Amino acid sequence: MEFFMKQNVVFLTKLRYDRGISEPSKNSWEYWCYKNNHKLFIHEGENPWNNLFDVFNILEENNIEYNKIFVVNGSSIVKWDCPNIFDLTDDRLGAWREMGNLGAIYKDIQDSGLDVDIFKYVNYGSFIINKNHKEFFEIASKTTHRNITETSFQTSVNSLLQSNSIEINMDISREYNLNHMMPYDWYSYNWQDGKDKTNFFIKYAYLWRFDDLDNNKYTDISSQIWNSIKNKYTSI
Amino acid sequence: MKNIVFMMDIDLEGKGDHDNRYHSKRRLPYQYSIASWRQWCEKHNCELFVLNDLLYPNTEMPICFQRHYIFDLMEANNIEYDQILSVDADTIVHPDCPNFFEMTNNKYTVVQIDGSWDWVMRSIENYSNHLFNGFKMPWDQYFDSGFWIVNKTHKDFAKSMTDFYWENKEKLQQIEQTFHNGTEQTPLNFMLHTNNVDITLLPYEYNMNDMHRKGVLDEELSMTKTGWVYQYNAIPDNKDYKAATYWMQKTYEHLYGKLND
Repeated sequence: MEFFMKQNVVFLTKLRYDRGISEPSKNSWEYWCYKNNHKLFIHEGENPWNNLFDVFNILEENNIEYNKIFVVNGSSIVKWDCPNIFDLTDDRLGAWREMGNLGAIYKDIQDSGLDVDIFKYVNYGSFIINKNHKEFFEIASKTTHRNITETSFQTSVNSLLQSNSIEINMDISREYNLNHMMPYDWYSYNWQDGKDKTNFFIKYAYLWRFDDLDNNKYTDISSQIWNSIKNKYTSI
Repeated sequence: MKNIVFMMDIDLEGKGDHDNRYHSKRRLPYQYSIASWRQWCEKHNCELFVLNDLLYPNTEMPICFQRHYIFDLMEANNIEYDQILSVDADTIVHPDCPNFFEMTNNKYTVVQIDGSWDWVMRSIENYSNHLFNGFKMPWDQYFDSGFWIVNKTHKDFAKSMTDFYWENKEKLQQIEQTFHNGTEQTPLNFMLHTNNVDITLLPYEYNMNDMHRKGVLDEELSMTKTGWVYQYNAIPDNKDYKAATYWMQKTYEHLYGKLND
């Protein structure tokens, strides 16, 4: 007889184009999940993020029991000492407000013709979900438009969340989903005072999303960053 | 008792370098700000109070610290009040902006900031290292001091701000002149935490700073479709405050028509 123990699951979707971040992302999540006794599931495929709403089916097909699921894309690196993210959530869907490029979001909503409240617009690269959301994800997987640009896909996801009146917990600190790091100067450090050249995002946030880096710089920057911190992920 | 919107419109008579933050030209577009707030106040039965005179010379106490005498000003002018919004005069409010006085839960109310985190984090670290004995406030609660709402329960805190200034005047001026990380904003952020003041944090749309970075400061005036209060700061190529003046006039006329109509 086989026993399955329910765990919280990090559902990491690998990127379509690796750009040097997938391996650091995987390594960081492996370390963090082991340290916190969570299950890491790596979802690969042609365009894994398009399977966003198939999360429950995919886990069940792989005989994985779950409590809460953190769906996060492979552009992320979790900090070695990140507190237990699952402890920050309740039974609502956990997500973070998206307003990095508010102008583009506004135009995208206009172009989509969808009825989306921009004040409730969330980033679709990180969700914390549980069984309560299974029915919604099944509905969404049948209705999401797949062959549209990523921003439009995000708008489509928001439309579905709002039209299905899904309760969203947007109160989780931005420390746990830091994106748009380049335009918002998170790579900087305190160049005025002292000798500490640690990047601000490393010092002050726990989950870093590298999905806005320029394609030409992506591999260089991600490998530089990973090389500077990878020794933190070796001892448990 | 009415709620009050408090603004400062004072010519600091700065001259010379166009980057001088106290330059007289900075004040030119404030007329649009005041006019927008006057109309919002009429709609929501609030009173607009515009201060035109400094309480101390700006060199003695920077203008932004002086607004923490807000309760003394109300009482000196025999103004009864419930809550008071202190708002910068480089803002324009949308005529349909909801009544944020109803969202405060009677707490000290501020608005989430989002802009250059390089500037914010350096400011937090530098004030922490040089004035607050290493204490750091949570960065995700940092706010722009161009918008805060208080009520009578915050009188003691306001006094602690002005006392703090006089007790640390030289150090504050030294930090400001050394690092250029703001004058009163970061100390106010810190002081609320060191004094355990309960805070209500309103979302970004109630004081939209650094709009250029967010891609909403455009000819279509996208900010007017994505938020309620617009703060015209961190605008690139803002020589002689011409860009700020251009955008504030354009926004005002889009929302309210020509001034004096």
